[in-house]
Amino acid sequence: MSETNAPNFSDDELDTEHWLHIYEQMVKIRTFEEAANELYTSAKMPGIAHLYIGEEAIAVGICEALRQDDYITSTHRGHGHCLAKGAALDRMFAELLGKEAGYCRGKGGSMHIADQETGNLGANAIVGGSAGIATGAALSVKMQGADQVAVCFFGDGALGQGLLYESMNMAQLWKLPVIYVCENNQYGEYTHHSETTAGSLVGRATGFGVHALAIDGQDIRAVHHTARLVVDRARKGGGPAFLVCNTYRFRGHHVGDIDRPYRSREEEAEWARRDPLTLLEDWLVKSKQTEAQVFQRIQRDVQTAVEAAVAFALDAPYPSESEVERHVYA
Amino acid sequence: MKQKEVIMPALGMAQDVGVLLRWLKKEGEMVQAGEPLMEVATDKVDVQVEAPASGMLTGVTAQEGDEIPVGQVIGLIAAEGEEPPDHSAAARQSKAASEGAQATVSGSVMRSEEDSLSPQKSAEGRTASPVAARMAAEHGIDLAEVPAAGGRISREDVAAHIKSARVLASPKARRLARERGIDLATLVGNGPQGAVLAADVPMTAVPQVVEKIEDLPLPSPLPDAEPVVADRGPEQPTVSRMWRIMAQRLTESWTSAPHFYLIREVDAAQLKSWRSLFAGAERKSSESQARITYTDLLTKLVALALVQFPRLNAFWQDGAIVTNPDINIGLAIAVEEGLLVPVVHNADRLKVEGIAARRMDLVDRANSGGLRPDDFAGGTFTISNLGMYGVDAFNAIVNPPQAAILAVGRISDRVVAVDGQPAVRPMLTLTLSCDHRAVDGARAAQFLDTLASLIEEPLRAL
Amino acid sequence: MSTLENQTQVVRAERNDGALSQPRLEAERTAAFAHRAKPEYSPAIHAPDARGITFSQAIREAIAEEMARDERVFVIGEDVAEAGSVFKVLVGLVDEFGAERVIDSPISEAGIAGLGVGAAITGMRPIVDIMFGDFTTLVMDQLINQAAKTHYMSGGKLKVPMVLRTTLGASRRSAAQHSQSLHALFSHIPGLKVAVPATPYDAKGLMKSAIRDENPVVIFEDKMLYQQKGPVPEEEYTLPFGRADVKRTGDDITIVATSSMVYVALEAADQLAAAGISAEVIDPRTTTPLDVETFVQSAQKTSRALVVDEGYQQYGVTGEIAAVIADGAFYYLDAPVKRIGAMNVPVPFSPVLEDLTIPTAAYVVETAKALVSGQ
Repeated sequence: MSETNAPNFSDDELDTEHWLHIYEQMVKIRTFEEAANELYTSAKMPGIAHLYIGEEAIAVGICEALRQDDYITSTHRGHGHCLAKGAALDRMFAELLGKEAGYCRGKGGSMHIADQETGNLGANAIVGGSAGIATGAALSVKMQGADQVAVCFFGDGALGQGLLYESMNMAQLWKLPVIYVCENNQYGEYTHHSETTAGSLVGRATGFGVHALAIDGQDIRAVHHTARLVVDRARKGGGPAFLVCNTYRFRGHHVGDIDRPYRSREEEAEWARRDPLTLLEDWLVKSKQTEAQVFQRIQRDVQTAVEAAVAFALDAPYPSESEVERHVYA
Repeated sequence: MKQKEVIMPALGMAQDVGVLLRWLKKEGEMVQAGEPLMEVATDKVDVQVEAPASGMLTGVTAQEGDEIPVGQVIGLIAAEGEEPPDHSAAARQSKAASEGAQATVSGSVMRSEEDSLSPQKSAEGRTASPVAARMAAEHGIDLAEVPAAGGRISREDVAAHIKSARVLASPKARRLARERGIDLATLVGNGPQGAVLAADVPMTAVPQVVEKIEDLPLPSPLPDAEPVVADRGPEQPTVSRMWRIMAQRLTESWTSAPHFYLIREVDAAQLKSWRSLFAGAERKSSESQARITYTDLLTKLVALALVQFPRLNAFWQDGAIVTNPDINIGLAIAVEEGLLVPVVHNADRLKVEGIAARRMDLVDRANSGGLRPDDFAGGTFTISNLGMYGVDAFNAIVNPPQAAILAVGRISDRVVAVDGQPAVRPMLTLTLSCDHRAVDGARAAQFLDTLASLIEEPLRAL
Repeated sequence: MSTLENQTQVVRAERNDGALSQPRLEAERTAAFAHRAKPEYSPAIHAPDARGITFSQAIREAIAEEMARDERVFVIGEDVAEAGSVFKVLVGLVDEFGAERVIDSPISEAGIAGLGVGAAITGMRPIVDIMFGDFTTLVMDQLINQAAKTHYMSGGKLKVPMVLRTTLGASRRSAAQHSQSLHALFSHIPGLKVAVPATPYDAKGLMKSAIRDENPVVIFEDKMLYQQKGPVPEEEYTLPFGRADVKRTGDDITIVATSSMVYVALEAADQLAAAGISAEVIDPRTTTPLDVETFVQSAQKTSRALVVDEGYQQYGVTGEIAAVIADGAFYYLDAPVKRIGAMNVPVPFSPVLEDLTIPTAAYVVETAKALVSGQ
């Protein structure tokens, strides 16, 4: 269903411990999102949330190839990116609930989590809105003579936004260290990307001369290896890259999109067989690196941590009224 | 029928529209029959209207501030279990109601808050000429607020109202006038449309009677024609709507009606003894009866004199003199917010006791804010008595549209010549103010002479 | 437009008159308002003895000085390097600081604005050059949804210290897409600051402040003012945002005017003086934040106010300023606050038509006379 031109990779340099850490990161995102869904459906969470379930391999695979001081920009479906880049569960939940302990003091919410300590320049609720920001961060890095890399996450919907192409053009012109990661989860809101996107996806970047690859976004090994290659290339001055990660949004567009009339249950079942967590579990067991009960222990530990974080967020105080006028100006 | 219509009530005889000041219940709220439901303003009073039935207020079509023809349905009270109707249903019903010949009053009047000085309108429902209606609409004027010189509101009435209704002034001019204690209405404006600008406000106020209205003893009939200026401190109380209307009406009268005054001293000895007869009767009576005052006696005698002089019971309108069929005597009463002139209707046909009872009732309700529009309607002549304040005599301003007002001073012993010899007699000074357009000096003098005779020989008259 | 030299003399003379007007002002005041402070106006012409340079040179000096002072400052825009910008404001800057810090960009307004936001968040201090104010419509998302929101949405953690410099003003026969004055659009947005300098002195001081500001600032330069000369000290100075400047003192009417309309107002004030009407001319200098207090104090003194701005009159800067004056000086006003903006039409090409759309001194005079005479 999607073009793939990922290079072959070997697993030599990555040990089991590394993969189990990656597995834990994916479980953390999955568990976080399930808890967020429960908070929403039990009316404890204001607003709305766009769940990342099914796409965990991309955020984790990319961010595990980054340093803490590398930058990311995220999207409205951004919880996974934030967590993968190192955000703490409790402050994430607090932000989702609009509490002062949240990453943005409750003033950003689900779609705007920013955490400069982990290099997260902010999730953006304008589709494609952060293409310029990520590219500008890369420009900044280059002007400062530093070696950080900026990653711009966006969905297939953002391929319709001109800003992306203006930014990519400049990134390639000036060889900026920025990786554009297109999470092609097949649907822009409720419309299949084939209805909105003409021509080749990677061709959009190769037209600018940007190094472009399409990969299996469900396979954490493919994502992670590719990420290590393009990040390393960018860090060394090789310029930008464009990754199309083919994936699937296991849940609806947002927590309230539960009947999903725009796609078939068969299609969903097809993709469910390619759950990124299961794929990694199977590979680790088949390659005899670990046993199944290790996964259960990780899941239990993560579950405990998530529950504690939810409890923290539920108990946390709301911002004081004086907060409303703070931070309009620096 | 399980739902009851809430109607913009007709609260006065000459009332075409009412303004919904506020709903006291929200749509969807349960109300009990007789509970205050809404506040309605007519040109005369603000009243609370009671709920006509118990149930849920629904189908509200009138918003606060809306001016609504009387009789129009503006909401419904649905009995419990009844489906609230949609607005269009209520609107249809309201249309039907307003087209119906008879408007109904949905609730009873509970209290009156404010009123204008002028109680009189023509007795019949007023209409307006098409030109007047258009002018009023163009200027955003409520026709109900336009005083008509006749039974029908004319173009001239609207024009006069526009001119007098509001003093145009810049915010700065208003502030300066307030600070300097100057009535804006007395100033000539040189701004756009005659608006008073800062330069039009003189540096100092003209000397004025300064009196604390709060200090006036209440309740008591207080005839008053002089503007009373509230205490001028740094914190100025805002003038009530009643006060503004009073100021406006009196200015209108003072500036449009050519006044003349006739003064007559009368011997009040017989009047005093007449009153003492009633006082004796009161003591004997076991029933609580209204105490008879000089005002009551004078009301009766004035009414009798008016029977003989219909021109004093008339008014000037559109180049003609209109006479009133009934003799309705207005009594000037001071209340905190201003001056009220409720009316003793058909005073010529009432006994003195009846007049006293009516007067007592009016005074009580004036002070409790309970006067109804009809209490003010139809006055044809006004009596203003300041005798209880020790005033010997004063000139009053005619209360439009009427021909005359009688200003009554105190009864005091004075040395007068009786049969060529000095004698001490209880004397009373009457001052009759007349609108020269409606009545001439000779007729007025004859009326005053007749009244004087009646006062000096009251028992003979009865 | 009158020359600055002429205005200098006029304003100097007025400064002496200003002292005489104080008793009259006091006489207007009542005991109830006596606790209010006297308005304290800054002098109208700053550094009158300084060398005269053009508005264009003042902008360039400000940018060059800040680039020399702070290596995080850089310029990005279309034709800013080799060409020195289409109005030649930045000529020589690339020679001084190199193409790495004076960056010729593709014609991608949204893109360069976005890069500016990203660079600003990550430690740089970009100056994004948008050639014509009309093209700011292309950067709306980046300015309004990104730059203006980032600090707030991040709970105060991220900052966007960037400057977007662009132009406003008609009368260059450039027609509807190169002549608009769109500063009201950005003045509406919390999180943005907007400067509209009128003189070389103000332009330099405000530009330097804008570059040092921790917030996104949009600075609108009137294309017609680039050759305007005025005294600008060689010494280092900055001007605060949110502080209006009284360009001329007067007693009978307050004229608030922005950008090049300051000159229209000053010319009108000259003509009004000849007619015996003393006009006070106030330049807000920044439209967000807005120095409400200075307008209100002046209007309380004069009792009349007129606001002149080259943006479209409807929903414009004039409306906001008129509203704050009406609010703050209501009980001192002897006439309605009037607005004069550009006509509510797209700017036409034909010179005879274009000239009709812009506020003129003659119209300001006519309006001011009507207000003062109470007509």
